[in-house]
Amino acid sequence: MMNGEIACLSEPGLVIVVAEDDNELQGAADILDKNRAPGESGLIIVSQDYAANHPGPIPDWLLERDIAIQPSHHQNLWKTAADALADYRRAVRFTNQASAEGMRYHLEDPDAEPDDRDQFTQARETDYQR
Amino acid sequence: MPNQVLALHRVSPRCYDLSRVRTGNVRDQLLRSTVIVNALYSEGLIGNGWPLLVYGAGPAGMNAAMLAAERRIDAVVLERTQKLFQTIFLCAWRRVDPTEYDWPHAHWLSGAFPRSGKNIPLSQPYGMTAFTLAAAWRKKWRDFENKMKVPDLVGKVEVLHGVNANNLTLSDTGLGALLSATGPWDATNPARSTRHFGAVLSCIGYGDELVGEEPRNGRWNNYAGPRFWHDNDTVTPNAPLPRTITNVVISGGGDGAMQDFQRLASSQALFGRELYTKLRQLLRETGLDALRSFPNPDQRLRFLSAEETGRRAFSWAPDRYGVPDAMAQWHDAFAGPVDAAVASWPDKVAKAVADKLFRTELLDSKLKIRWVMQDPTPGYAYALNRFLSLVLLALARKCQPSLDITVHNSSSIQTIAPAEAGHECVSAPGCIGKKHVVLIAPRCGHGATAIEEADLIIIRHGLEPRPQLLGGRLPVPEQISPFDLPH
Repeated sequence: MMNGEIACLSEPGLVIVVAEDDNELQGAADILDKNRAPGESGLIIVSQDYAANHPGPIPDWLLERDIAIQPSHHQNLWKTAADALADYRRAVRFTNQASAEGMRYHLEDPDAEPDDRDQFTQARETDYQR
Repeated sequence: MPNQVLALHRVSPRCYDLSRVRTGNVRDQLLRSTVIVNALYSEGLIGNGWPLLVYGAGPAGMNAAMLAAERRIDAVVLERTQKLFQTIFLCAWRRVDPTEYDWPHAHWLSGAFPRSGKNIPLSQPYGMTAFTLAAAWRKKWRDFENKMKVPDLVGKVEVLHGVNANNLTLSDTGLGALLSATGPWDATNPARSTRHFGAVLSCIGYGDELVGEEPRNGRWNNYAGPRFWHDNDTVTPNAPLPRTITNVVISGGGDGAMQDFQRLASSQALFGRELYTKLRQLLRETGLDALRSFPNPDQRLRFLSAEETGRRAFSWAPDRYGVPDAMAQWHDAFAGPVDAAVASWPDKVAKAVADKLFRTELLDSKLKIRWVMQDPTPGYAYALNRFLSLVLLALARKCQPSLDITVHNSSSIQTIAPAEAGHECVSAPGCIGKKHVVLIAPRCGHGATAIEEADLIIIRHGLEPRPQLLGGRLPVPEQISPFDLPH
């Protein structure tokens, strides 16, 4: 599954790669580093077997390379990666927006009531109200 | 009149401690750091050339520094590690969700937090992995670094990695205006020098987790369980448990224990808002009015009332006589309606819900869960965690004996000993999946229970108070709702 550039998902600030088993971790980390700029976050989606075989904290060699790992069912590795990327996109948008809106609320426009929620949240609200 | 936000967090002149006042969740740290920086600015303690000194480069510390810099106020951040947001960055197996803290308040899903009659939008309006949140914050910081390259656009934020705030000496300048901080400002150079600041804000967090034996008297054979943020406990979302996990013991009566109970008991390792959403969906599918509306508005109002009363009893008088009673009343206000409702559901319907809500291993009798708590009821916890845990327990009782979940209340773990030849409890990760004998004893001293083959033992006994860098008053022992932040 590892074929260099294709085997990663990226967004400014984040690169995600997938490792189907423990043996692929080192290669995945190399691909990740090859595809990210200095200071960008890195995540490896690993098969659930990794979780069973490696309980505890992230290994030092991944820690030193500033790479996080997320276990996933082995049939859903790429879906988990895509979900993580989508979550990250939303988080970036809200992290920036919330700060700006929060500042405006506190400093300049006390009447502002920002109500720009993404579809995910709105769907959950609808679900709750139903 | 003194600024109430600053008065709540002040430990000495110009020194403020965000970590001294709990709650510990990420959302509330962000809210607190925002209102503190705004208060420091409005009171004239920072600005006009007086920079801000921040301890800790987590979400609260970096949020404070960037907010100050947005007002063209310089900030210096001291971080003992080499990375930003490191604790939550490394935790991609646990989700954080700001909406779950406020259920059943009407705004709980709104992605905003009401204060002074207005909504403060949350930077994280729904659940995501802790990693995702940290990665987004790192992106924000990278963008901010680019902003700092534009002349006069924002103030300067200087992050000093490896610098230990304990080595700084803080003192009044004698002029009544500035604070001087003297110490080594370079991790590689012990030379001391003095810098001046308008104020210092400590955002170092709340202290180490209690995941082992306290007090340590050797009866646990050095056992320590997985840490909440730091350790992968092998319970993976949307995946079966490892075959080595068949017999789980959870100890603790707060949010950590409740969240892990939900993760272990539910299918897909759901908890909080996601588990609530699934429960509501399953109840709707039954087509029965009593289930479709559960919890109904009256029940939610009762929960809300108990929540407010319980929080305040715990927050404002944590050590006084009567608090255990208040905790029990708080819990009973939830347990009563939940137990009555679930008991009234038709057996077939309850079983159908249970079949989809619980983990397959539990339904197939391949997993046992033992939950130990020292008091008769769980203690301080968010309403949604309490509600969901109670629903799971009530459903398990109704579907017994197929679901093997037992609560040992008014009890504690007496001994933990390795059950496998050659295994020693030298590290928490090394114990996951290994068999242990756990002796659980009730407070009354009669009828101890031995769990012969516990292979995942989770200890959620809260946090050991961390020595406060800024000194001052004793920490508030437990959580105060952010609703109590002065307006």
